[in-house]
Amino acid sequence: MIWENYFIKESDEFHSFWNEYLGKQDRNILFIMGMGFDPRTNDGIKAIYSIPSNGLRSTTILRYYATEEEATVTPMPIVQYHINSLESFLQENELENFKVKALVQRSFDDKSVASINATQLFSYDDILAYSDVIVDISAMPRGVFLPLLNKLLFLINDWNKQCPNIRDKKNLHVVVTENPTLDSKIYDRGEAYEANYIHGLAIIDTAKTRNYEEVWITLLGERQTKQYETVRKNIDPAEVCPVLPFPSKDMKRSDRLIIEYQDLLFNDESFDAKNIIYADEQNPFQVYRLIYKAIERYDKSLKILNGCKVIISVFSSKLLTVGAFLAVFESRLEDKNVGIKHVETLGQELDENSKLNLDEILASNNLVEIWLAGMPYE
Amino acid sequence: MMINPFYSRASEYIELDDKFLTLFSPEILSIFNQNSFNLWKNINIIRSSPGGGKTTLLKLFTPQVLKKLRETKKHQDHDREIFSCLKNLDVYDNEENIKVIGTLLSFNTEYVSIEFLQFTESQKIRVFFSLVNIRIILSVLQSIYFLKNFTTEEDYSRIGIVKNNDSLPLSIRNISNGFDLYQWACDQEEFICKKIDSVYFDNQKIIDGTDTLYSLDLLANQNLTIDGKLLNERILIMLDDVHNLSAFQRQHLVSTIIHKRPPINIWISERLKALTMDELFSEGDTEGRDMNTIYIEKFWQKKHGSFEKFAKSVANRRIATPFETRDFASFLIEEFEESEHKRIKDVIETIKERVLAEYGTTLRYQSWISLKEMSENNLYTQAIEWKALEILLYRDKNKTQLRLAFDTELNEVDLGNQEGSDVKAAAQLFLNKEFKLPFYYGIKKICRLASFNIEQFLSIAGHFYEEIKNNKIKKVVTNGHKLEITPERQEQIVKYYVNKIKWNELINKVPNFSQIRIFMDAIGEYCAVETYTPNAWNSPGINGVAILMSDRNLLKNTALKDKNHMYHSLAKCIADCISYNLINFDLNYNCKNKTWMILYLNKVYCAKYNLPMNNGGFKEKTLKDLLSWFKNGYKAKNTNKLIL
Repeated sequence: MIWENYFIKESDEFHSFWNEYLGKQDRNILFIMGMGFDPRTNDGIKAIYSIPSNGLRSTTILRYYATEEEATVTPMPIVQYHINSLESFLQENELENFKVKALVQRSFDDKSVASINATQLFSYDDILAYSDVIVDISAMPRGVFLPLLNKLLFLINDWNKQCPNIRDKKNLHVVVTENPTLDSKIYDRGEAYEANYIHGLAIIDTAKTRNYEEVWITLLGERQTKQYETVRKNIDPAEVCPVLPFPSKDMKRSDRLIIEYQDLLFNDESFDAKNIIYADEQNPFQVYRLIYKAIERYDKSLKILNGCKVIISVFSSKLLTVGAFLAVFESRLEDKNVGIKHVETLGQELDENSKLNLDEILASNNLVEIWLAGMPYE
Repeated sequence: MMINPFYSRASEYIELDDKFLTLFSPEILSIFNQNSFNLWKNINIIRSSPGGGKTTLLKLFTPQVLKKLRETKKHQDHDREIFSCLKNLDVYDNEENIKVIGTLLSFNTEYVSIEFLQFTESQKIRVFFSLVNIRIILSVLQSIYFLKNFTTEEDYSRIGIVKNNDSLPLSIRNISNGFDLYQWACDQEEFICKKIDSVYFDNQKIIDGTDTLYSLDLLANQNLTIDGKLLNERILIMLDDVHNLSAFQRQHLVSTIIHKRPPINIWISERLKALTMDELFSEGDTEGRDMNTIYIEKFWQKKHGSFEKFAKSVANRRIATPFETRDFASFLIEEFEESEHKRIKDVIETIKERVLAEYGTTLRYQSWISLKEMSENNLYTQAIEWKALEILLYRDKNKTQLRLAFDTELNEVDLGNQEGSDVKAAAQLFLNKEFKLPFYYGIKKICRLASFNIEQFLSIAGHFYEEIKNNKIKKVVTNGHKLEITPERQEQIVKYYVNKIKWNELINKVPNFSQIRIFMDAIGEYCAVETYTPNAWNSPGINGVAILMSDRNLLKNTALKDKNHMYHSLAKCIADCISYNLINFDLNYNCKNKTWMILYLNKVYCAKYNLPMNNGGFKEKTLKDLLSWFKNGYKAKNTNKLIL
């Protein structure tokens, strides 16, 4: 397993890691981040770029637009506020201003193009000058950061494979500001009607594999029953394996999720309570391990029926999403039929009431660093 | 654990062919029995909203299901009925041989990726056609495999290809048997799909492409042999979910097929949302020389009774799993329980008092009032009769005031003439609004709420089933607790379904719903105001508005195409409403010496605005009115409207 021994730092350890890492040697950093309404948008970059260091400091922000037409509209005030705030921060620290990459999520005929566009955002040329690529996914939707991480992992792994000197190898970091309370105050404004595979993470459905049994591993999260239902209608699994967050800060969270999803789970002939997987809500690498092993077991046991296709859908937190992605990424390298099926969220908004005590909510922000590729794994 | 049979998979997903047949209701096949309809014209286009039953219908024509049906019809009456319908459609011959090699090819969203790869426009189509050809070849070969009882892949070599031609890709021009063709297609399919999904876009440029749908010639039955003999069966390619393609791909695929006039049968199935805005405003059933177009909901719309029969049949098949001996309708009580009698008596008393106070002293109405006082019908019917009487008296009084003819007493015949079913239906709605006596209950109304969409029906029925399930648990605890659902509870479930489930679904599903919602609310609120006038002028009420056909043409031909046109947003909103099945429409309706396009609210939303569910009740509006509703919503005037 690639990430059997993993690297994750959070809270105080996050800051001490970056202080030490950037203090030891000059690192050339490309910081990629989403720009949106999420109050956590600038937390990651401010934490890392505040540390004095001599290396390159480049920043690329991703702006999302539901349609091309939307790209011409003035940003929401809160988004503009975050843009201004980032601009001033970079100026104050005498850093180069950010570049903007636009990402359109729906085509003119209302087809999902977010993941294919996200995959096209970066190429070798964009990362050549840097030793470290940091992706802050705090304000990025799943449909964007999954294909983006997939592409960057490919680029960086392929680079590192042909790079003999460990000092020249490139590193990929994922940064996320976790805050379950804030997550629970963010509502989907609308989701796409259809379930799609993420570009680059699709199961290739060919004549030879068409009759393979499907297994659906789905990470459940609050208020995502519609998305769950949409994916479920789109597939025909022999087994449904929900992943529930346990242990979790709120010990009743799993029970509540089961209640929320009860109609969908208990009316589904493919669901068996024995299939439930419990994973630590704070540790993406445990989710990775559990899902990776589950894929391996299903792949092995269903070989006698020709083979299987394992579909992963993530409706849960960003940390767990990263864990699920890693399991899929590695299983695909081993030529297993695994993919991520997803229902795109077209827009999100912060609950109006929560704005009243936003400072109190933001006090529990927790910065997490996940080192995905580079030095620790060579 | 009792699994809700209405929430379990749509029948199109049911893998087991015998279970698929058990849940299949043959009534849907009547869409092929329309006058002058030739099923075996080369191209059939089948359209509906999601859940109209397209895929289920297509799946019936696949060899696995047809073979299973031939076996099961020997001991299942239900299957015999389906078999007989299919035999009439020339799917089986007199010796019960299957005459069709049907193959179902679903378009998933994977094809759309091709559209956004770094290709030129012509390359995109070439790669797309290349994949479509390969998938058609594989799909047809696999259907032959099932129909001809092949057992191993080597059996594909029993298929011979009579002649190849120059339109084929070079790599298969020399292939003369099914095995080699199958292997070639498998390799190509895997190669193309992997390239399409690659994260390295430069790789994709090496995919070979083609400009033609050569597979349609290659697979014509005159061009295929089995064990050296020409194939007798008709080849049927069913292209499903074509709406998942990009607009450019869909348009190119459909037009290429139509212009090609292929030597095999092709059915194309797609959701309404695939249609262009322009097509959405156009007439339903269109026919060409080689083509039929079927709109499933429009077909049922003309046959209420048949849809009701179909929906009941579907529900009974589903409920037979947990309740073998009962039909679904028997769980929906249509009579009021004794515990409700006191309440209904109070309602009757209230209306009666009002009638006597207002009209009791007028000689003209004495006979009508006496007739109602003598009524021996059940209490609810009496309540309806009294309310209907109040409506009629209100109408008559206002007319009579104009005529000044209070001295002529009205008799029983006059009452019979005026108290039609429409007035009674209006009375029921009024009772619902004023006294909360349920209106949306009973199997007929539940079928109507489905708006001719079977998935919508199953979804509502699923909520009723949950209640039955709860009642079953309560029955264990409380002896004598009924499984059946009272009218009041039925209405509560319907309202919950519409207001909470369905409406919230739209918020997530329909783009720009906040704007569409204002328009829908405006139509709903306007219809409610017009329905609940004291004289019920348009009894039982209205649930639609009409615009002149000339205005419709303006929207379709000018406003939709010009973003700066004053009616552009309105036209787009109406097209979206049609596409997402929020509104149904009728074209060329003649009324008052003019022709109209009628926009009816989908029946399920009639329950949201407390409207009747009949078709035919509408009021004419101008585009200016609709635009004002679209922008600002409907604002009811405070005048107590009265129409004589």
